[in-house]
Amino acid sequence: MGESPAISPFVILLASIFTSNMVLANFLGMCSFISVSSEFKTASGLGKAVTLVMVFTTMINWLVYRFIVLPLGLEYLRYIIFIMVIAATVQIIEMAMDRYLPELHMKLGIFLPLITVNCSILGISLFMVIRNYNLLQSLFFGIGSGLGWWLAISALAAIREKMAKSRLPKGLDGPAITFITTGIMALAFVGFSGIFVIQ
Amino acid sequence: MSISATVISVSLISTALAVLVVLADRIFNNYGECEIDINNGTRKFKVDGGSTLLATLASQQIFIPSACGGKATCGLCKVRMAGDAGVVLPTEEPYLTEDEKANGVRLACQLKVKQDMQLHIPEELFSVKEYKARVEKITQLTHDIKEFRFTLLGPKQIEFRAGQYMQIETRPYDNVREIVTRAYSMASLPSDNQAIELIVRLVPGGICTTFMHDHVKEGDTLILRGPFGDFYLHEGADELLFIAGGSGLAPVKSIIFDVLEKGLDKKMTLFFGAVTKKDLYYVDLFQQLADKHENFNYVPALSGPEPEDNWQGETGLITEVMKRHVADPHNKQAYLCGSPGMINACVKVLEGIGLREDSIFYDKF
Amino acid sequence: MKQSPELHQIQDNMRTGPLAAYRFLGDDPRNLAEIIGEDQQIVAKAGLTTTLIAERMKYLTKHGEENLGTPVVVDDTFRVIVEEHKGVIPCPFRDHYNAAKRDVTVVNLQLMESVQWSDLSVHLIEEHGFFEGVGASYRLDPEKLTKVIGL
Repeated sequence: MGESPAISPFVILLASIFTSNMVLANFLGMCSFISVSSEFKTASGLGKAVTLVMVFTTMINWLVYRFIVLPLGLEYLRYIIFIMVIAATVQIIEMAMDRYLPELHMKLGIFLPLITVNCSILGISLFMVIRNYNLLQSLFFGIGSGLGWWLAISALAAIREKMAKSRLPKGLDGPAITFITTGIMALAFVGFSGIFVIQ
Repeated sequence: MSISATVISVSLISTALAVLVVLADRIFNNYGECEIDINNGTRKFKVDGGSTLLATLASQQIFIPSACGGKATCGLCKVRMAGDAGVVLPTEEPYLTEDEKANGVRLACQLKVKQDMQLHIPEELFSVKEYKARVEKITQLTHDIKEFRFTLLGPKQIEFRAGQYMQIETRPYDNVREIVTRAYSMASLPSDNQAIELIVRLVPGGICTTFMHDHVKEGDTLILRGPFGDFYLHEGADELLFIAGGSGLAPVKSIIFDVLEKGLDKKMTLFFGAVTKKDLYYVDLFQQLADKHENFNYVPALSGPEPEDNWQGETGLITEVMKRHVADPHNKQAYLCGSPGMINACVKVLEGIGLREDSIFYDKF
Repeated sequence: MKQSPELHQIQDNMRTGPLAAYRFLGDDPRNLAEIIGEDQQIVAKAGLTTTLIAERMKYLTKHGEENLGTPVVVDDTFRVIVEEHKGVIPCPFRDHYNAAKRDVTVVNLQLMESVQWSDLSVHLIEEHGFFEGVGASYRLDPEKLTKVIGL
């Protein structure tokens, strides 16, 4: 890791929510974004779970990268290592939740294992490495990316719930209109660009 | 870097992560020792937490009835919890009434043992045991009904009341990977206490019945649990009416033979309903019994006899046949065993004749 | 066709999980959303709805069930036999509906063709538009079903 950029962690936080939103600016994590956004409650639940996992995995991956990968010169293995760490972290989080927060665990249920394959999780770990963030910056980056993802999917779900009662041309129903909506949302978020620049 | 170094490093890291996950499992899923107190101290024991209440009790040889094996689809495993047992899970919701929830009733297969627990279960469940049994003889009674006779291997003897049922556990077969539990009434007599006889009717697509009919042969060993059920002879009348259809003859046969063996002074009539002659079985058995015993009367009835059946006996639906033979409710009890539709229809007829609810008995599973 | 994780979980339960023994999906290689979607299109093309089909099935079942397993002729055209067995089958779509094990066989005396369904089939068609996968023992081909029950 080289020199970390001189950006305030708070700027990173706000940027990752608005200007560099994982889903709407970087188009990562689209898979579950499209398929789980039909109901607001479930979408919001998934968003919370994704945020939680993002924070944990960024932190752990940063430590693993700094203290294991770099000293041993294993940078070329970072994809595999990050994915393994993400999978293990999600499993452990699930177990801990089942023990200490059983109600929440029940509500999130199937979502937790699904998050392992959400590419935005791997994405933020890789971004943090490419941009040479230090520990604090990575932490805020993780929190912000999660909140941004949550914001995006909740907004999309709210729109879709309202749209469910509209008459759409045949063929546009389902994924088609969802993609179009996402595109329009992304265009709207372009309006934030330039306010905080981190990429 | 060389390939071997890459392989070694990736392997080491994944092993380290796997170890971490296992450790986490040990730490988080370890609920320590929990004390289970049943029926205010009648049975008390300490167990390791983490499993469901159903499984935990089974490991202590206490068997709560279950037909679905813990998948929250039968609702039979209800237990009453005292004190705080945690929040009711969504999987339990459909099986619990508001009253039950207020009284702390839960499904044992969904409740995980995480702390000390106090619960209440019916006394009879303490005499329920798990039996290893060998299939001694399989008899084809009709085109879709088989009789299975089991010899008990361990425990070697069983105590039960005529009319009760056992739960049988299937084994995986063909596409079916799951073990399934189903209930069947015992056709054997309590005095025949080293054996169990079950009558099984093949249900198209039925998981257990297909297993029993197509994959069980003489000599196989199966697991049976029981005895369960409150379908047995109750005091209160001198005249007993038995109404059965399909495989429902099993508990009824057991009770009738038991009454005769014990020499009880009861007048008994057996109404057996089927559609055509090929659905009848045990005809000779009951005919001979009727000839031998004055106080037993056998009335088989066909609702749709074929011409080649040359049927001379009663015809019509079992409900109609019953109405012809039973005039008044005086000093009578009715024991019904058959499909839910048949039971509902017969109960209506009996209540119409004047029998009270507490004089009509049937298995509710 | 992509399907939500919930539907995917239900499909897995049907294919290889605890409900595999009931063989809801038969040998059908399509995923659950596809099966439902394509069958829905067939129903719509015929100018019908799943509600209409289910109502008809319930009508025939009602007339047959009173006869406790004996055949009865309904409307001079349909020979209906309703057989019941003990126990319940849970609905695989996790709506906590438990269906009685009631098998209905309907023979259309004019066409001399028959179909067979269970209580659960009616619920699956009415609430979930699911006619079961090709190869399932209770698969109801929408075209054949509507023809035989006279819609």
